[in-house]
Amino acid sequence: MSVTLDCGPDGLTWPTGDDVLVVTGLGPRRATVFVNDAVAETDGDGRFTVELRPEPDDQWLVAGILTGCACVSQRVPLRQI
Amino acid sequence: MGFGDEGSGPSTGLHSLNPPDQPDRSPGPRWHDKLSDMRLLLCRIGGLLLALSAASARLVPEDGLPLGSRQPVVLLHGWNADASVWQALARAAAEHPTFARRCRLYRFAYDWRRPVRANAEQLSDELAAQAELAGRPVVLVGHSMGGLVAREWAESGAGALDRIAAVYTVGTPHHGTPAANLGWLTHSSKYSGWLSIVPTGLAELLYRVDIFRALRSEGGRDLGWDNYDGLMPPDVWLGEGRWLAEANRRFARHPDRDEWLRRYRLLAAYLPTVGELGLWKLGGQLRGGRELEAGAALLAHGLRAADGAALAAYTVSDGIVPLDSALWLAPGTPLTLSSVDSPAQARSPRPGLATLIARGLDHSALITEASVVRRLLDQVAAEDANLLALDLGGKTGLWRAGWKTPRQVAEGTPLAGSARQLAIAAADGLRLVRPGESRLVAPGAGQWWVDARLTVAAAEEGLLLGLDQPRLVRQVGRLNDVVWALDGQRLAARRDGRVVLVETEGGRAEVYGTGYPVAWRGDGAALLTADRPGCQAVWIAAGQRVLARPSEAAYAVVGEARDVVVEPLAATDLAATGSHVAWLPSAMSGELRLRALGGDAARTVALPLEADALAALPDGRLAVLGHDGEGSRLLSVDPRDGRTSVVAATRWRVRGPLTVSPDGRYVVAVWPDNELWVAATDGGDSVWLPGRSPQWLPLPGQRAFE
Repeated sequence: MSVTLDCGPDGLTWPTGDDVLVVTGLGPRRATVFVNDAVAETDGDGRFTVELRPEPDDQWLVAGILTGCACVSQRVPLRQI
Repeated sequence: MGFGDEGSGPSTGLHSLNPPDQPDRSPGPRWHDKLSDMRLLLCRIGGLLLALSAASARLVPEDGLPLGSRQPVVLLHGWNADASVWQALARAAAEHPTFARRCRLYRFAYDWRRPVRANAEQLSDELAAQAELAGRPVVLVGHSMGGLVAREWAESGAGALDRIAAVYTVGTPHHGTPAANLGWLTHSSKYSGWLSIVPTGLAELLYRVDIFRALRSEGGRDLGWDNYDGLMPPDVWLGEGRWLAEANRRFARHPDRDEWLRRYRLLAAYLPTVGELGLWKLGGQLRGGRELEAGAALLAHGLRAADGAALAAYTVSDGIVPLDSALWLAPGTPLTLSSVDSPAQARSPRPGLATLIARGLDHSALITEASVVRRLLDQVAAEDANLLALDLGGKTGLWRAGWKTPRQVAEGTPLAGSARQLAIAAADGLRLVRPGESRLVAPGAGQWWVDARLTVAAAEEGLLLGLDQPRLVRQVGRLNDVVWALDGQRLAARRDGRVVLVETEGGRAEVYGTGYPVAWRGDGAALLTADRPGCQAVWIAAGQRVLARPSEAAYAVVGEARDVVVEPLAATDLAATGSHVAWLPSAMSGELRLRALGGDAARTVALPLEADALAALPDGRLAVLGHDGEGSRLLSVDPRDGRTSVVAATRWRVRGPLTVSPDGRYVVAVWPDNELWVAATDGGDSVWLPGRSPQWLPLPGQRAFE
């Protein structure tokens, strides 16, 4: 069981001026996942969407499963553009 | 031996005295009551021993569940008993909040008439026969003679020590008991010396009583006063009469002969007459309704009445075993009644041993009385106190008192841990390891730090991750080094030459710049940057929650400040107790500087060596590591009066920083990089261990056994 964010190995970019960053990804079906401070439930296909409000100096997204065998699955870079 | 040569009765002796399937729930064993009836006793001559002759040793688990990761705990009964004496403890264990989950009881039944050594060998065989116990360290709990069996096995070599996680002895006659010598005293009056003090007629009568006869077995011989360690080595057995002659011969030239004679004359003077044998109902209520004090019984009662506190060392007893014998005190150790009245004064006789003195209980009640049993179970269930995690070169090892070497438990290097799980930096990332389980918490081969409570992990790139509820807690920017404050909520880190303080709960970060190289202490109690004269010193004493920048005479307060120390400009090491701050003003310092919290002036304590490291002990003392021409010494310094004493020494030159165990009993120093010197702060034996990065694992809610 793991969580994968919809992004490449270079991570995600975050347009300057945007308050909200929408992140999507894939995890276990009907599970609770997190991305940084945001928590979401995955649907029947394991898909999820979260809205983040990163701080200006945030450089990473951390994603994982919050239920069951809890662990961090992925860390991806976050760049402001 | 000729056991049972006088007895021809039915084999009911054991069952009628101590039925295995009908546990005696009274404070004292039933045979004590029975002893008041002389007729009944005389009818049972030999019957008891005959009944027991068929008994064979065995090791039986208490429940039918798999052992799993639980700690095996072996119970060893005492003399003239069987495994049923543990019924009360077994019931309490089943109801204990944590014991049943963490431990599994095994009852070891053995023939107490055989020598202690033979039963220890039997124990070894029984343990080897249990497949699920293969290679597993066991906890031994011995009542009375059972404690000697546990000791004998521990001391027998053959790898036994590596199998032992802990040994608890309850009312064990480590130096024997005069009560056991009654068997010998009553054998005959024809031998010279101390035996002649027994009235002949009384001796002949008692000779016929089976309980005294049982004391003349090999097992009973091992319980004799100071036989086990002193007068008569356990392996000397020449047959009943010949053994006695040999005992007399050795006694005649024993260096403590005069003291022995004094004891036995007193013993004889207070031997009961036949009509008073009811007094052998040990402990509890004397005839006439008088209560015995401090577990005192016949001997204590008589001798205290006669000679008062001066005799307390060997007359204060639980009715069978004198207190100094049960505490395993070295012969001649002063022990007075006042130390029983104030148990805290009765210092544990062996380093690393916790002591419980239960007042007002007799010998057998020590394993049936609810409060004592509960504390014993608490202690056994919390046996991982003073657990030391070590880096064994890319592998994590654990060590605790009593083990000769650390045991490797996982691949990777230890970061932090509680008594129940470890956080380990493994090749694939951060792992939480507990017995039988290793869980990858977060991937990543970079450097990790974990707080002492295992609630937050920090990654090299500046991520703070929650461990109990894994999610991103905070991003703080790339970190070079991290030390956690004791409360587990503040992070002290180094980033680009500056000190960063982060509140992990609120996410607030404060940065304090020094611009100087930072030397870290790894114990979380203090940070120090003054590594050369003239350098600024920045330190954080978590207990005081103070951050000070002395050279600027300015400080920042984090949390509730009780005091701010601005003096240690050139300290090479620093420690804070609850009442004092202490520091070494230079490398190889011959003095220690002290300042009371709230006080104005610092004072100087001259040291008898060149010191280079210090640490605060939980009891308010300071441990100071230093060197003289003979090697390294560990000093204990009382900051209140400046008194110093050497508590440990080695001919090798070890160095700091000192790492103190949670209960303060041990201090670890390093030699040179891959060997550790674990010194006992109470004057006990020191241990050398392989490994690096010693880290005592905290045990939440750890309770003292005093």
